[in-house]
Amino acid sequence: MANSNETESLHLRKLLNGDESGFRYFIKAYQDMAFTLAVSIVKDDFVAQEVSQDAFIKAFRAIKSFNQQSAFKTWFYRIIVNEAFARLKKSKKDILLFYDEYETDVALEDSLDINDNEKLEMVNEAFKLMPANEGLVLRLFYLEEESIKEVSAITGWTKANIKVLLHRARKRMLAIIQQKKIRI
Amino acid sequence: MSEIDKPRFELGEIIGRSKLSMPDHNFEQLVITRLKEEAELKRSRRYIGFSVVFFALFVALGYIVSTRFIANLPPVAGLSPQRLKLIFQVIFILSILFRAEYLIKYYRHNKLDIS
Repeated sequence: MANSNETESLHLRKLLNGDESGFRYFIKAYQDMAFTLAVSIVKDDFVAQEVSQDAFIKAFRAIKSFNQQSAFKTWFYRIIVNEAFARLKKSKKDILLFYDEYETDVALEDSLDINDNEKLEMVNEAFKLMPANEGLVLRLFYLEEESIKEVSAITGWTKANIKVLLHRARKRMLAIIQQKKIRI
Repeated sequence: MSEIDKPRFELGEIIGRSKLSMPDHNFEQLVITRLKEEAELKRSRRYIGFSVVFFALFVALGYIVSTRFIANLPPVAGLSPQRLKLIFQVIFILSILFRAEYLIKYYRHNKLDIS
């Protein structure tokens, strides 16, 4: 971890000096996560790519204002999240709650007789059917293993709100997958 | 992370592996190209700013010279002040036209780049 932080600091210095290799390092390191977070919010691959591109440009343009008190990752994710929500607001296409009836307490491993790759595919499909805010907190919490505090720093939402969103998101994710399983 | 923060969730481990790959393999180059284009555009805007300032100064000085100074000059090489003024004004107007055309072209080119 320390080594990784040192590498990042080194490339951050390059970035601040306008060195192209610094830009390339951060694009390579964060492009997949930028896309994943963006698609959790905008639900469309093409729009998510545009959002990621705009987020990188904005971040690089504003890099001198990054005070290095927080991690680059937190600062950059906040830019992606803001950019993606701005795009979503523009298109006015957030997911309506199709899966409001999510009464399920069944453990997924017991109920679904499918392999890990299929589960992964179903999870990614389910993300596209979830409201943007719920999909985002699930991804940040489980994929990036961010704490509630860090999720709060990235999204700007209160910790209490994030806990509520996480609770709803878990239930909704299970409900969506259960319903999809019925259709298979 | 406390137990309250992270209760057991069957899908947590699967979500932990749900990172997607950027579909466009050329993404890195696209961002770099866009950054370079933006930097170029920024430079162009600075130059065009200077050009506009110098153009305005040129027009103001040309106007002052032709209206205030030339009329008070003694004849030069057999040319009366009126004729000198006419020659100066023709050169002055042609210069303004050339510079204005250049600025318009430059401005249009940059506008195209923005879109």
